[in-house]
Amino acid sequence: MTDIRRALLKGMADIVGDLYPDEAPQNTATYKSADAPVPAKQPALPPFRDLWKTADETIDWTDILVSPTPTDGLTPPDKWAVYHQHAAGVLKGDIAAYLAVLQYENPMADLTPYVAALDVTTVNADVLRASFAVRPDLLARNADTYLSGMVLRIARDLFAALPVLTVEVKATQGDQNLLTATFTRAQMNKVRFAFIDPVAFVKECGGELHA
Amino acid sequence: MAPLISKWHRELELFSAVKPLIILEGNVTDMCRYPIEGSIPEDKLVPLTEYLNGYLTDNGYGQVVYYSNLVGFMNPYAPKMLDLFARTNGCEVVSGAVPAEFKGNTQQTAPNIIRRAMSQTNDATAVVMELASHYIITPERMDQHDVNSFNLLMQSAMSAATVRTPMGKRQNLLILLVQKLNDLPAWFYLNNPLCKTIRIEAPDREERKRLISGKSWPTFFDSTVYRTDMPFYEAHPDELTRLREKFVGLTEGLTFTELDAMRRLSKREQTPIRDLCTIVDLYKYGIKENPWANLSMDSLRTAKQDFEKRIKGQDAALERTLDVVKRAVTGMNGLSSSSTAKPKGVLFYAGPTGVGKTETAKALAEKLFGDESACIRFDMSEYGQPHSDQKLMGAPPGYVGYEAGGQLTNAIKKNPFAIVLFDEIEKAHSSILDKFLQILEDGRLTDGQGNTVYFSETIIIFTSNLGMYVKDEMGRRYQNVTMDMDYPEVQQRLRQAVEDHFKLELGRPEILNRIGENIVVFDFIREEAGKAILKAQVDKIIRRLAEQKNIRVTVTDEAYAELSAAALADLSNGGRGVGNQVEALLINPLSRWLFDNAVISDADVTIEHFDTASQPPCVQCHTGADKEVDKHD
Repeated sequence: MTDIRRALLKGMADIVGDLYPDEAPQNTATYKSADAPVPAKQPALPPFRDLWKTADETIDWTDILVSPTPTDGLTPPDKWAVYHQHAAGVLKGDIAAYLAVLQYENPMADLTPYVAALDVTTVNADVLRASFAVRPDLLARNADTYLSGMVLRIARDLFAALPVLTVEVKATQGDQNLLTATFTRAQMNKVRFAFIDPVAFVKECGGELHA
Repeated sequence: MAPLISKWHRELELFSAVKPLIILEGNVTDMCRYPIEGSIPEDKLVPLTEYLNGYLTDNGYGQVVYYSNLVGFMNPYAPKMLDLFARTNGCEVVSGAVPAEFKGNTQQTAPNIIRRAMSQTNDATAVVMELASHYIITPERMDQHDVNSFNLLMQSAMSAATVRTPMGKRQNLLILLVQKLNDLPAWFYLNNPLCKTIRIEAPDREERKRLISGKSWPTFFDSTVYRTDMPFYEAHPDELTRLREKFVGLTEGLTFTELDAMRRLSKREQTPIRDLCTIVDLYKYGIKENPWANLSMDSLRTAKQDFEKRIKGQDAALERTLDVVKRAVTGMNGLSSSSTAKPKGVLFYAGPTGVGKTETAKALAEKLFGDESACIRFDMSEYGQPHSDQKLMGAPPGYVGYEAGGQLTNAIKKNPFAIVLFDEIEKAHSSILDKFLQILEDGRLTDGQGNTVYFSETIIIFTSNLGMYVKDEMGRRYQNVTMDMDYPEVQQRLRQAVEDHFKLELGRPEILNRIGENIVVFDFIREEAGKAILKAQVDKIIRRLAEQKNIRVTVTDEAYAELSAAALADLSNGGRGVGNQVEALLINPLSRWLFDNAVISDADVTIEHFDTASQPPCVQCHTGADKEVDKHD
């Protein structure tokens, strides 16, 4: 069942690429988080004020490449085996492999309660582009923190999942673009997320608040 | 890539077929690289016990168990084997282990169970005794129970059965893992025809090369680094080979556990592939900033002029010194040698006393590391006793001062980027020369506490007055070089004397070989240099008085000529001799005059005449105020 769904998703991504060639270059692929399988057992949601302080565990693609069985003693063997299938492609920057990983891993499944919709586009080997539709109730509570915290967390999760250099994240409400921020891995590596103000950091990264 | 099988593994393969008792000794707590694809993937680093489990299982052993005197028998890698072992040998598994004491009178002690397991023919069995160094307190003071237990192990080996397996016939095996062979009673392994001792060394060059070139290579890097950097190296395989060679050289003497830690550190720090070797510094020294990498070429270009401000009349010596530094900076040091872990440079300064040998070392430290204190000086006249090496390296365990560590090893641990100056090397005890040999050859030294320090980021300088005096056939000392000889002759004579000292007197030509062509001979302080030193010192005194007391001192030309004639009359004591004369002829008389005339500050003083012949020497001076009085008169 899951395989069929994945195949459908891949087909849909191709169709989106055909329909909107300007927005999505030919070598891009889009993955919609809302459509992807959500793990049955989700981790408890962190309080929103700490959302950007945590992130998914980084997938160690070079370790996965060289060993068909888990070397960390933590990753379940079946998950490792799937990763192992894609490791060579991921480390070559193959965006089809990126998409397959996003579909399997669904790195932002735990963020679904905070967004109305979320999708990720693999632009090229170096760049991922994510966009999410805001939840009006959360936006109304504290717009700056909500938007900055969300874009930061999405970027962190994507950097953890794939070896890209840049992640662009866009927050939208209807047709309106609320915030666009571009993060580089080099910037993110230097940051101690437990101590930063997400609004200031996003601004520092050139985040532009349109709201 | 063809499998690379370590020497100890090949020996184990060979002797496990013919000897029932194998002792693996040495680096047994380290990880090992599994050499061939089997139950463990090729090139994977695993603990020795897991390695043995993989190897023995792949070779037909149906029961592989581990014994530790703390836990009993176990097999964390294949628990079913333990169940089988327990059933075969009439014992019980409790909480994942078969509890058994090493010594005692019951049938359920470990040696008794091992004896039964070794003699049975149901299943090929290998018992691996972990931490076997610690079963008894000391082999010299064994009680009867200890002796009985080892006797039973010997009997087990004697009664070892051969078992038919799908892989062929296999002999039941008893393997002991010990760090030091002499932790076991000598009678257990010496002249024991059933026993084979196999030594496990730290990974050699080929092993390290394989680790960095084999399947593990990608795992040294973060995924993003690997993805972005690797295409360049795939297109330039020569660059990759060079990088790996350098890494292999820098990691000499490190264990697999340390190499694995370095691998994880590299990944964690997201080190670019081209900077792989910097991770060795980070791991060894715990710091990232390498002053060698930050040296400015401009600063080095002006180094000779800067040095000449401090050291006068030693053009040739300074040139030779800077050659070594330039070689280190351009990375050409050690190109002719197999080890890149050697010090950045080695210099042997020979020459008369007081000519600037120590000063050059300090100037070099300031130039390279921005601070004179980066020149760590050891006066080797303090290390003339037979036990002096312990002062440098630290006392061994159980001796007073063990906790303090060694003076040299502590200093390098604290500051690995340094000039290490061994002054008057000829006065050191010969036992210390052996340590120097190790530093010069391997670039590392292990202190009494077992910590290894590395000299690969240092420049080592030895200074010596060797050859100034030599003995004739009658054993009488005479001066070998004199001021009237020109520099080439001084150089030739001193070099010859140094070589004779190491080759003929000490009988240690190997030390001389490590120094190579880096013997730098300092010339006598000649008249021109003496004048320059005198001027520099007088100027310094005048400047200090002006700065600190606002006393402006002027020396008339006539007075300066008198001072110069007296101070430079005998240059055999070098620059230090000139300094002593300046102290005796200028500083002492001038301070006496200032005190006697109550000139404490804010004054103009002119020195008109030096009376160098009087005892004590004195000066004739007048102040600006005196002149005014003279004018009025």
